[in-house]
Parts: sequence; C-alpha cells; structure tokens
Amino acid sequence: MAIMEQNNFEKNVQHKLDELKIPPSDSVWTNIEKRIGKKDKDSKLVFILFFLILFLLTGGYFLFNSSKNNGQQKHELSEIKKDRKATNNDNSSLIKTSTAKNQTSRTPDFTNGSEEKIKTTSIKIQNKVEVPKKKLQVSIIETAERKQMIFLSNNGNQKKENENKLSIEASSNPIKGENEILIQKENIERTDSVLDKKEIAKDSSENNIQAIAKKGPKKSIEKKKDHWRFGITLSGGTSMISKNFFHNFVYAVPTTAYYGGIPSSYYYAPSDIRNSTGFVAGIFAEKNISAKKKISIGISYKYFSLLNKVGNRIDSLYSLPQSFTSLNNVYSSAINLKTYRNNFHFIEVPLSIKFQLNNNSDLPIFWNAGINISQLISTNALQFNSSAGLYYQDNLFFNKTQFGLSTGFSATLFAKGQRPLNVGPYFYYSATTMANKGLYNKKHFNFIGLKTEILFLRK
Amino acid sequence: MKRCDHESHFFLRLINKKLVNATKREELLSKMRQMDQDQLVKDCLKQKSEAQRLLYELFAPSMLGVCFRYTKSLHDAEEVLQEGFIKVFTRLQQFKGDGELGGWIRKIMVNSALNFLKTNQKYRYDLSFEDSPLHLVSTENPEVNLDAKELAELIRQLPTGFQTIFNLHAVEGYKHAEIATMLGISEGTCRSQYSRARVLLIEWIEKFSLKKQNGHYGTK
Repeated sequence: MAIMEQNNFEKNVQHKLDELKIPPSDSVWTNIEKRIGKKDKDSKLVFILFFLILFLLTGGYFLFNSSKNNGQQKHELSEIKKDRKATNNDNSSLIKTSTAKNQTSRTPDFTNGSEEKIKTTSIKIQNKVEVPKKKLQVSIIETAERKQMIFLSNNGNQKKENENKLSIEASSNPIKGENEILIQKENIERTDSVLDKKEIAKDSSENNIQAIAKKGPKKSIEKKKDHWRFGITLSGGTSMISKNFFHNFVYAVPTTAYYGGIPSSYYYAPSDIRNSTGFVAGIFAEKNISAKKKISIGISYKYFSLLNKVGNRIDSLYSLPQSFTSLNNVYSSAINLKTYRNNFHFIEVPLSIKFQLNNNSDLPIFWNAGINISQLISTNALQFNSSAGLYYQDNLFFNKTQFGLSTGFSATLFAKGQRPLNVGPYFYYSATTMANKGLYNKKHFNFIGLKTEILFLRK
Repeated sequence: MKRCDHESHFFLRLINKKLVNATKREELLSKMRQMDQDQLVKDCLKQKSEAQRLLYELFAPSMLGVCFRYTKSLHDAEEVLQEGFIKVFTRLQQFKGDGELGGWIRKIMVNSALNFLKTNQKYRYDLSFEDSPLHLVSTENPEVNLDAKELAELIRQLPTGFQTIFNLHAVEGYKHAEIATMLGISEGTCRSQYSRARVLLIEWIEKFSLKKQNGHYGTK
C-alpha cells in the first residue's frame, strides 16, 4: 500500500514535470548552429586535406620517376659537352694535319659522309627504341668495337679516312651535335661509345693503334653517387582522434523506447575523449634523388595518448555484474572522476619525399609528404560498455596495423655544417581506423606537432 | 511525404520570421509535431539547416525543462541543452526509429546533464555522497498543487546529490540499481538519498502550498 502511495507521488510529480516547457533564449540555437556548421566544415577540411596529400603523393611519385631519368641525362650531357670542348681544341690541329697530308679537299666530303653516317646511326637508334635498353647498349658498343677492328685491319688510306671520320665526329659540326643529342635522348649509353670514338681519334693521331685495339670500350664518365645519410628524428606534439569522414557516430547507442514517459531501456554515455601528448623518436636514412628532392626512410617508436574521465577502479569481482567478471582493468563511469591516460605504443616505418621550396642553400625550406606504416605494440586504452556503464580494457578491438599519411614543412638550420638540423611543423593522419567497434569505432589517429631531424654527415 | 516536408518548412519560416504571435506559434508547432518525424530525421541527416531548426524548435522547450531540473540556474540549463542538441545532431544516425524521437532526445539530455554535473566544478563537490545504507521510508503522499515551474523550482532547491537522484528515479524512472551504477555509489546509498530527498521535497511542497493558499508566493 505504502509503495503504491509512494508511486502516486512519483506519478504526480512526473505528470506535472512533463508539462514543464521553457523556451530557450535565441543564443542557444545560434551557438548550436555554429558548432554543427564548424564540425561539418572540419570534416570537409580533413577530407580535402586527405585527397590533397594523396594527389601530391601520386604526383610526387611520377615526378620522382621522371626526374630520375632526366637528371641523369642532363648531367651526362653536360659532361659530354665539357669533354667535347676539350677534344675540339685537340682535334682542330689534327684535322689541319691530315688535310695537308692528303692534298685533297676530302675533308668536306668526309664531313658530309660523316653527317650522313651519323644521321643513319641516329635513325637506326631511333628505330631501335623498342629494343630493351641493355640490348641497345650492347649493339652500340659492338659497333664501336667493330669500327676499331676495321680501323686496325685496313690500309693506310682507310686509316686516314677513319682518322678523319673519327676526328670529324669528335670536332662535331652543328648537325652532328643535334644528332648526337637525339641519340643521347634515345639512350644514355650511346654517349659512352661516342666518347670512345673520341678517344680512338685522339689515340690514332698518336699512331698508337695497338693500344686502341687493346683498350676496347669503357666508360669515361663516372656517375656522382649520392650516398645515404643517417640521422635521428624527434617529434613532439598533440595526439588526437578524429571521426571518419563519412560517419559521425562514435559508439553504438541502444535506442531508448519511452512508454508513458518511462524509458524501457537505458544506456550510459562515456566521457569525452580529449587530446593529449604524443611523440615520435627514431632513426632515418636520407638520400638526394635530385637537386631539390630527397627521399627518406626510417624506423621510429611512436607514442600517442588520449585522456578520458573514469570513475574508481573496480578491483573486486563481486562488485561487477556476472557478465563482466572476466574483464581486465575495469573502471566505473561514475563520479569521483579521475583522468585516465590511454597510452598507445607503436613501431613505425615512415617513408617520405622532401621537396625544396626555395633556392636558398643556407636556409633551405622543404615540404615533405609521406606514408607511414605502424604496428600497435601495446596499449592500456579502455573500452566502454554503455549498458553497464563500465570502462574496461580489451585490446582485441584495435586494428594493430595502421597506414598513415604525413606531411609538413621543415627549415634546415646549419645546412652547411656537419650536423644540419631540420625543424618544422608536422601533421600525421592515420588512414586506417583505430578500431572497428567499441569506444574508438571508426576513429582515426591524428598527430600535430613539431618535428626535428639531425643529420650526421661524413667529414 | 514531400507535402509534409514543404508544409513544415513553410510553418517554420513563419515562426522564424516572427510573422505569427505566440498562440499561433504553439498551434503551428503542434501541427508540425504531428508531421512525419522520419522525414524530419532524414532531412536533418542531409544536414538541411531548416530541418535542424525545426527539430530544435519542436523539442527545445520541453528539453530545457528537463535540463532545468538538473541544474541550479537557467544559464547552466541552457548550456546543457546546447551540448545535448549538438550530440543529437551529430549522433542522429544512431536513431533507428523504433522508439519515439522525443524519448531518444530526452535520454541524451539527461546524460548530458549528468556529464555536466560530473565535470562542472560548481556541482562536482555537491555530487559526492556519504555512504549511508540506512534510509527512512516515507509513506507520505501529498497532493501536488503546484504548477510545473514551481515544482521544478522546489526540486532545484534540493542539494545537488538529492536533486539528481530524485530526478533520475522519480521523474526519469530509473531503478535504484541503475542510478547506483551511473553515479558510482551503492544501491543502499541511492535509496537512502532518495528517501531523504523525498521527505525534504514533500515538506517543502506542503509549506509552499500553504503559503500559496495564504497568498505568499515564492520558493524557499
């Protein structure tokens, strides 16, 4: 009876309070509108940023591939030009001598002949574009060898002819230069054989035929090798989580059905997850891939943390509902709130490309973009059970392997010293979701901070 | 369905432009309430600002009433309402439509209020409970001759702990065991606190009713 009477009071109160309606002030909606709009804009911004990074990475990859070949070609062409200038000086006297000996004006004929021959060669090589590089290189080298053999086996006139041909080739009129460039474009190795011819010409002028025969083709240009340079990196900043671009929900909330104002099912909301400190420390190796581009790869330890509010730790199994007795590290979601730090430890392999943005060699500024593969090695992060209102640890929820995208800017201090220091802002976005269920369902890790790199250069 | 949508937007435009008086506004809102809520939810999910505003207009006054009961000032209640509605709009995808939309929003408001009390320094200290499993059982069942606002004002005069437990049990209908888990206290403490709150509130209701009869208005 007493309980019934008690319930009557509650029902009266409930009934009365259901009628309570207070119109809110206009500022409430204004604030809500702003916040909703901002969240929407934020997710759009992250979406755009993601595709921008993706686009730049793809662009960077193709740029890297094309610039690799172009860079080598340009470098070798400039070397050839230098050599040619030097050879021209030597051979100008040689041409004069051979013309005087023959008393015939064969030099122009030879010039024409050599033009034709060079043209033919260039056409031949152009026709051979489809042939794999190695084969082409071999055929050209073989041609050079054959020329030398012919040169050795023939009589004196032929010697002179060859001498002249080769010397004319070396002296290079404009047409020949063009053809040579054509050849260069088709295959870099072609330049080697051309240079060998120059050397043959030089040597023949000294009547050292035997030496030439023994010598054979060789590379006169040594590529300048860019060595890998090693360094250490340390980044500090804030680790945070963001929602998926396409989904706004964070965790599953059971729908509550109301009958007569009384809820028939209940859930508890977890506390908000707040950003906290994070850092990355590791070693890396860096290499120049062109004058203004660098590639770097490394291995790092990455620490991210997030904060949330939990209640007291429940140590006694008797305090827990039966279905939760098997759980580890259980906290209530109630008052006596304390801050809990969810730690995430990763091992990460970052691969990035740096593009120099300015021409200042004293203070080069780089933009870098990269991809990171990380492996979650341990975490104490808590999950949340909304029906019981309990926090508990379950690492099975997490995606252990994470693929991320990173970008940032850096300025190189002490660029000309032995310990260049790169400093600049750094942003990381994990493309992989943290988990596919639980409290971190569909959430992505972000990190924003300051990145420093120290390179150790050889003396 | 589309007709409903256009109609509701038309009403909302009238309300927003303040082309109607308060009575007419209430009438329009009640009409809108009868409209298809599924369509409203769908429009809100499409981020249509008019639909979001309509949803807010429909539920904000009653939800502010809920928030008002859990806090000590109207300003705080509005803060809770604001946070609650942001959660509503960002988690609307989770509303499956198998219950009442109003009930689902109310649930979020209650949880927002509890989070606010737990995190706000002003309330946090008051929300600590002494462990007192013994409790008085009041069998009094007074008639509540107060209007909703007056009753809510009296509930708000209770200490924060009492106020919260009373609201959760008497108004929202939570069981003591559930409240105990929510607040991290024992069930006995919850019962005890509730009984004390109930006794105190009944006493105040009686006093207030007397004052009201004698012509003295105002809360304690």
